[in-house]
Amino acid sequence: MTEMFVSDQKKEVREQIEREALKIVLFGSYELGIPDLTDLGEIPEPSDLGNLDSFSIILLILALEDTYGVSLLDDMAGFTGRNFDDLADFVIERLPPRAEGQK
Amino acid sequence: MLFPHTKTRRTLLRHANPPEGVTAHDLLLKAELNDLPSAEVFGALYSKEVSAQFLVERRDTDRVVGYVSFHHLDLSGQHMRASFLTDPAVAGNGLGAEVTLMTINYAFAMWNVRKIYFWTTETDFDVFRTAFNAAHKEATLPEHLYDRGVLRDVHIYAVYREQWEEHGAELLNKLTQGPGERRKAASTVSAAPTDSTEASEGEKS
Repeated sequence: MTEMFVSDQKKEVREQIEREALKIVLFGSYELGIPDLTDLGEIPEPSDLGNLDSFSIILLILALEDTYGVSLLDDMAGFTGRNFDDLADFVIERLPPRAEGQK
Repeated sequence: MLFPHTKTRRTLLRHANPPEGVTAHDLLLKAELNDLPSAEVFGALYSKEVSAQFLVERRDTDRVVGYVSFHHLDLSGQHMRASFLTDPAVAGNGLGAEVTLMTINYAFAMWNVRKIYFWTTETDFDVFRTAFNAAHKEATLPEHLYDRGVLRDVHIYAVYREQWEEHGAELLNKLTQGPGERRKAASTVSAAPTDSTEASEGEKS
């Protein structure tokens, strides 16, 4: 039961990461002022941190901090994961515990 | 008005002041940075006519992970050059981008320049990739720089003040604040009276 609960939470966080990463890849240029979507059809859907450059990683971490209200960037130096599952674990470790069944 | 940030939550720019006879390149060799450019490239692209230079440190370990310099200041033309490098082995997870943002911001905050040039031998320079399109490639100097027996192309990029002030500075500000501070700052801004509110209140009185 608890394992399923943890797994649900990880799925939620991972999906949030995927959504934010896709948004950044598609619209990161807007954030910094020069929309250039001429090659939009060629942008691959990010599935791994290796698909994101240094700026995109920063935008992703800031977005996750705002979503979950927890500090992540300060500890990122010690983060050695390479995929979204690893990042989801990293986020969940910093979330306050929540009751089972809580959304 | 830009604030000359020299630290974010995890990165610090510390003034580099090498003693007589010691170069910044020597300091970086001593700090055992990986992928350090050769002395020739460093001398030509990073440390000529320097106005200010910094060592980049990780705040959690105090370890030196990079270098930033500001040089070739031309107040008549209102431009200058800036350079930076980070050790990819110990400056991952976006730290290189943080250094880039601090470098650009510091130059615009401290000097009356309208654009900052970056000269690089790298063609896929991280700063100029997809997420940060604020840099304009302005020129390539073919086979310009001698590096360990090879003539390398030099690519010249520029970032303009107007664009930085409008879009880039805000991102750097976010990196200096935790999520709680950002939320508080955002709620203060949204709670502040707008010009139109003030005008209508003035009209009432």
